[in-house]
Amino acid sequence: MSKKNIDELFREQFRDFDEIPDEKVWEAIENSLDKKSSKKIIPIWWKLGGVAAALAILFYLINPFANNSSKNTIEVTSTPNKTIDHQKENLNNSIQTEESQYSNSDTEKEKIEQRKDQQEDFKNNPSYVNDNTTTKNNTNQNGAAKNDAVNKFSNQISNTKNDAIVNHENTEKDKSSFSEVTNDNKTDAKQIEKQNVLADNQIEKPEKVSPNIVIGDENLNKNSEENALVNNNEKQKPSDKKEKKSIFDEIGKEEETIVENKNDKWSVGPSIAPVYFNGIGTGSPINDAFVRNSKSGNVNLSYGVSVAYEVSKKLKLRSGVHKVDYGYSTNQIEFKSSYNELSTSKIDNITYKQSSKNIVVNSQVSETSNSPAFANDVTGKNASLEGNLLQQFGYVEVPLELNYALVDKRFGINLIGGVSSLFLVNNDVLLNSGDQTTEIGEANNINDVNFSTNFGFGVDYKITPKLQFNVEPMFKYQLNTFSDTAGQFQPFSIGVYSGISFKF
Amino acid sequence: MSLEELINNCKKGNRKAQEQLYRDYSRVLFGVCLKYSRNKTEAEDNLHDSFMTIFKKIDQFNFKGSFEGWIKRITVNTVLQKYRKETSLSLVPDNIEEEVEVDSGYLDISLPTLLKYIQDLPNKYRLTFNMYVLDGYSHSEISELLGTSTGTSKSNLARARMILRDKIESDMKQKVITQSLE
Repeated sequence: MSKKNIDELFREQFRDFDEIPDEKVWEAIENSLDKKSSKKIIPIWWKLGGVAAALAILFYLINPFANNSSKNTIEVTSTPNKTIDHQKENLNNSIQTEESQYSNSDTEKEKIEQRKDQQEDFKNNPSYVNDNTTTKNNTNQNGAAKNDAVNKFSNQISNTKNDAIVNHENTEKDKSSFSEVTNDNKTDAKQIEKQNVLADNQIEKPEKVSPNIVIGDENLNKNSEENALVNNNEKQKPSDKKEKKSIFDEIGKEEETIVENKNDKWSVGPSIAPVYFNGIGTGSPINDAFVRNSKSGNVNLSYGVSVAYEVSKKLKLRSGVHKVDYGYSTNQIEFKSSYNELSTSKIDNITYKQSSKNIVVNSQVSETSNSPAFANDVTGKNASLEGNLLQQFGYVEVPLELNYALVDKRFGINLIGGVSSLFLVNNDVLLNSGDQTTEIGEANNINDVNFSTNFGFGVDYKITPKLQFNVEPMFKYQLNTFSDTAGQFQPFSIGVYSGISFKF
Repeated sequence: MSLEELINNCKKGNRKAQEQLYRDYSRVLFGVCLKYSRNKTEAEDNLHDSFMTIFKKIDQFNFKGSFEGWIKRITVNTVLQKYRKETSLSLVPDNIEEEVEVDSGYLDISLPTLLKYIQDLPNKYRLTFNMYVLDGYSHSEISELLGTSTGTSKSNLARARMILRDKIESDMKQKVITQSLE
């Protein structure tokens, strides 16, 4: 028998070898092409995400809201009655004191004018030192210049409140003029002092101006009285000084708080949450054969970084990046390995792994287990295992939320609402039986990008002004997780997010 | 519609053109898939994946060289990607025979039977035999595509030939015995 080279044998037989494939192959290709074209939407969302991130960075760099808010704070100082924050009582106080200071100088102005008159009187009468008059006039001019600026602040505060300060300042100024005057004539100095004090009295009780002037002219009779008044004034000095100091302190503090407000617009911090995933409705995300099966949501972990921007004192705009995993079990499942992998035995919504193509999954409770999606195990050799079908999907979540502060003390309570974009990064379908777990593939009906609407409330505790701890129970209703589910299945997740945030 | 027009329409993502391309070439490519795969179902999966790759990469076809050659290479590469990761026994046989011959009396073996023999070969033997014997790849090309050495490629080929010869001969003997019994 002649020998034939085996290569030749095969080459001859397989020359121009072809075969018409089953029509279902084209149908599958068409389906895949459809899916692919719908997937082209994704880059747009990534672009939008990019735009959002760019805006966030831009906001941080330019800080457009900061200008508005600094304007607000300027208004605070110029119109104290319209103080925006009730909590800043200290600020208010300081402003009021400041106001009193203004009105004080206003009164001073009046006083000085009156003093001028008096001095003219002195000139008309014989004697009284010219030097002193000049000094006083200088003071008057300075005072007047100052007063022009603050003229609009009228006497809002009662005279009684201001008396002490008015008197004190007069005394102080008069003292300086004293020393000059004393060199010339002690008696003159005394007279000037008396008249000045009397002038003070005029300011305190303007209606009594003319009688006092008369007294001034007659002078010297009420020496003891006037001395007492001067003494009083001098006694009041220390308390005045204290008050003055505190005024500047308060102004300083106010400036500090303004500076703080300017800078503390941003906060950032890590957060972590246990997340429970489940669906509303009785359907199955995998196949209609599992609609009747019991299902359970799983608790997984979410973690990430939150960023918040303080739009106003009450309102924060929040975003961040979180990794979140969801798990969902379909129970009462039986599965077995078949001898031949059959396309018809596969669940449409699962893309099988190469190594898991022989696994046939059935529902224990379904009436439709002989539906075309499942093949009977023709070999009958393999005992089936009972277990559950576990879906796990991981997302990168980018939330955009508004946080409204209901209470903003050391303990704060906030209302939170917003949306999240979820980008699919992990997608597994696992079979569980006892201790054994097999990965069979991935679900192909999960959209790569989906959105959720979020709402919840937050409780925070400010450890320091820069550092706060927060706990936020959130409910997130997902809008388009699955492209194709059997029956009604609307997924949602509940998570209790806790974290720390740092202001900067 | 000329082939060039068809390809250009496919580049634009025209669904009708894509279907026409599939109708024109699915027979040939399914032949390739059947030879390189372990069974018909896998061959169908591979054909699906190959066409998806072809439609995805058709932009890169620049009308230099044969279009059929180009899509055949894509198909072979798609199948290789699937199987080359799976480890197979790579025992190097002691007695490598360069020329494996069978009796010419066995030449009436049907094509489906031969196809079954090829499909039943371990992955790397099957791929190597197909590439070298049926599709004219060199050992250096094969070793590059499979990520092995040319030595391994040669030994895989020799192993494949010997397995095929043994199969043919044992089947033929079986046939002769049954015939003689009748």
